[in-house]
Amino acid sequence: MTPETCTLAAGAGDGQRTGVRTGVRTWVRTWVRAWVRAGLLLAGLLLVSLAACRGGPGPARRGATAIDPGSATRGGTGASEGEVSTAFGTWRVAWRSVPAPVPLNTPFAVEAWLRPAGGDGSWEGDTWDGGAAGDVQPSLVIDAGMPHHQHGMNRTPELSRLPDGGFRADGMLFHMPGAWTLVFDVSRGGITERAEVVLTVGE
Amino acid sequence: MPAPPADETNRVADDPRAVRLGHLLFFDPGLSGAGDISCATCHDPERAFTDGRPVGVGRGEGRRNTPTVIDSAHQRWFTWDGRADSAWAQATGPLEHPDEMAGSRVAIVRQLVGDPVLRAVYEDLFGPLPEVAGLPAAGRPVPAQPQHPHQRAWAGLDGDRRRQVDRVFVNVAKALAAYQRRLVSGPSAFDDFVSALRREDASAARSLSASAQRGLSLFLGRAGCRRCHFGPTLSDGEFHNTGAPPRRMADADDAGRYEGARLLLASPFHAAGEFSDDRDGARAATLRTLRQSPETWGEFRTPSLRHVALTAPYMHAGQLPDLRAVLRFYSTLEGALAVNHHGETVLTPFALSDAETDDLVAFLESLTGGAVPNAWRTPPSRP
Repeated sequence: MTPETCTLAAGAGDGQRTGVRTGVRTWVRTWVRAWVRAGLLLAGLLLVSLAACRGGPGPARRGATAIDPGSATRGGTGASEGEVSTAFGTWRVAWRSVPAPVPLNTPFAVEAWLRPAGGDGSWEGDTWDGGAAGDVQPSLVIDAGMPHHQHGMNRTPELSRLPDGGFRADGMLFHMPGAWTLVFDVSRGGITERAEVVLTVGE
Repeated sequence: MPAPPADETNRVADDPRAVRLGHLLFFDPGLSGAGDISCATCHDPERAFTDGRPVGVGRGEGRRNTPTVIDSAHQRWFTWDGRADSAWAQATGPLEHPDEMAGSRVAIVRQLVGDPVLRAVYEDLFGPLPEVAGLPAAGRPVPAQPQHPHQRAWAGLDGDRRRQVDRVFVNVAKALAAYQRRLVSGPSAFDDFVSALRREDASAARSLSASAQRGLSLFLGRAGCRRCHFGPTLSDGEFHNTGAPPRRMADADDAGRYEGARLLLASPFHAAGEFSDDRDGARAATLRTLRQSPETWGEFRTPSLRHVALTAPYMHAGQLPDLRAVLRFYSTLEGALAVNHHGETVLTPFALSDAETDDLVAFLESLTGGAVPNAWRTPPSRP
């Protein structure tokens, strides 16, 4: 995918017929190639477009021992994994999409792990283990929407726990190209804090 | 166009015997209550499998536009509100709907048993039909109307008999779906353009008019059509609130997907139900995540744009008579209906000029594919 194609996907200007035709040609070639390679539909183009145009941030997996203190609550665009803080900085959320990158109009899952912020920065133990005796376990709700369009997903994801204590939301669906906000609502003791990640899919 | 995705919920979806049975049934008015309406009455093969009317007219007048069934095997959801999650589940609806074919599943069993051609094809595929002795002339579940003759007849059958009838009814629907999977369009001018670009054949690419190419640029760019119309059928297959003004004010309360989702989950014929051949598959899993929220009120399924120039009038109730009217509406949003306060704001006016409207129409007309083969557009021969 070339920058030219990225420009086209964002909307070519009028009166640039040659550029448009070249852009369309690239767009179509990539589309067809994506079909052949992956058996995907036009969404394949948009996936490739996403990966090529936006790139992805550095990995932020469970097990990472250093958390970037500069990480914003709102994650970067085009990401398929990352770490974010909740709004008041109480929690850190490490997350990833399955598959990666997030596909357009194809169901996917999000896996996430929590830890209290301000600790030693370690993901040892994989996830929040309840802390001191008597602490209430936090809960996590994962959802998404397109604030710019004022709508959410057409699905309510199925939430489950991973064997290592993480969380998994199945049945996510970003059915439109554009900017989606992935939200993680962490609740404990009657207090909910939200972390958000903005993902641009299919453009 | 790629081949349609498999329908694992219908084990006979690609069985030629089911295609033959479905082909016979699609053109058979004997399935209707009065013996005068077939699937092809509203899905007229000579009108791109539509009826050319704003809303369907069978035994009565419906509320929704009759969609084409060409390339429908690519759909994720069926009907304008997605009340069915497979082509066969969809087919069960019109057969019995009082405004459509107004038939009944019990009468359909009798029709199959009494027609030697249908009976032979059916039994070759599905095994013996049940005995009809003791069956009423007609019957179907109408739980909301306990005194309806069909409901009373249905209530008079024991559970085993009802299950036998339901099984035949579902098999009829699965055969109809198998036939409809064969209704695929040939390559369009736009497909040829895409192929030419793939080969880097600039001269062949010129076969798509300059106007249509400008229309494509608008489609991808300023007009924003691509937000919902993408993929091989140029549809995201999902639901949106377009705000299209109702044809009649009495239709302004059409709940669309909000009601469609409820009907889908209540249906015994969805992908996770006992009649599905893939109760634990991906389609069934989708039902577990179906969102029922006020946000979906007034949303309707994004239609395919393949052969869209042949399927006027447009929108879920046929409110807009031609493509220019559709483009005028989306370009200006004049008369848009705010059906609720949760409505999405995907649409913003983009003020098409007359020349740009011409270009977009030219592009949309380039999506008309080759006709469905004649063999599928005419009733099959009967020995």
